[in-house]
Amino acid sequence: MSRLPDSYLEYVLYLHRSARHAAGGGHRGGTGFLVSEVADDPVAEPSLFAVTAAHVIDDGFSVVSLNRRGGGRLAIELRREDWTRHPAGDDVAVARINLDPVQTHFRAMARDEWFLTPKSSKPLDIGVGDQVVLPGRFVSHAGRREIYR
Amino acid sequence: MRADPVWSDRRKDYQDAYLVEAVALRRHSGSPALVYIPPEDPRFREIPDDIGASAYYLLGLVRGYFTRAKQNEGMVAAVPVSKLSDVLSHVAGG
Repeated sequence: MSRLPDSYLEYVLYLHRSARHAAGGGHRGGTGFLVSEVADDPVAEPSLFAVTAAHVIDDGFSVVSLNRRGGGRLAIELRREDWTRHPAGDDVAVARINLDPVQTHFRAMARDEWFLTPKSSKPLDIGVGDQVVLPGRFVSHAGRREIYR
Repeated sequence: MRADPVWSDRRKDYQDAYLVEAVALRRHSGSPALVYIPPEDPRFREIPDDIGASAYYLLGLVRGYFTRAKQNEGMVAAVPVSKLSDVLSHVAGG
């Protein structure tokens, strides 16, 4: 597997119980990432969404944190009810989110570029031997200025 | 590998998932699972032109990992990206 560009870490975010826990880099919580969706209106900005596993939200970790430009952490105080779960109960939850690029550096996986659809994944026949990387929260060394992913 | 549905202790039900041989910890739930298709792989040419800006693609997100006798078995269950698409379509109205 080739080395991941450092910029890939900017797709990842963290989930905490509260803004206070986010500021303290608490060891409990979960991981998530950002995705974007192009609007029907070509003039409109793409919509931005935070994604995580639904059980992370159900366990009370609904507050998002990202690295703040210049150091420290930026907490986005999403509430449990801000997250939408899969109608069939699959373990995924999505929340609309607004981020200020002046405050934090972030990237979002564009749905039309990143998502493997049934159409695209069928000829790929993803299976045994394919390499997968899971950028996640490095809980044992959260860092002081930035959150290591 | 996407095979038989995977049991969820929390949901008390079987759910669609990819099985990934990887070590994950509790705080990794929700992490993106990115599959790597290197450009030299013949399958790379099979990827439709309308997706893909790199050699990495979103396969799904981490749901959890398997344990036996309290030992991490090094196997992860990932929710397929199609499930994320379902929710996004609902939220974004797409």
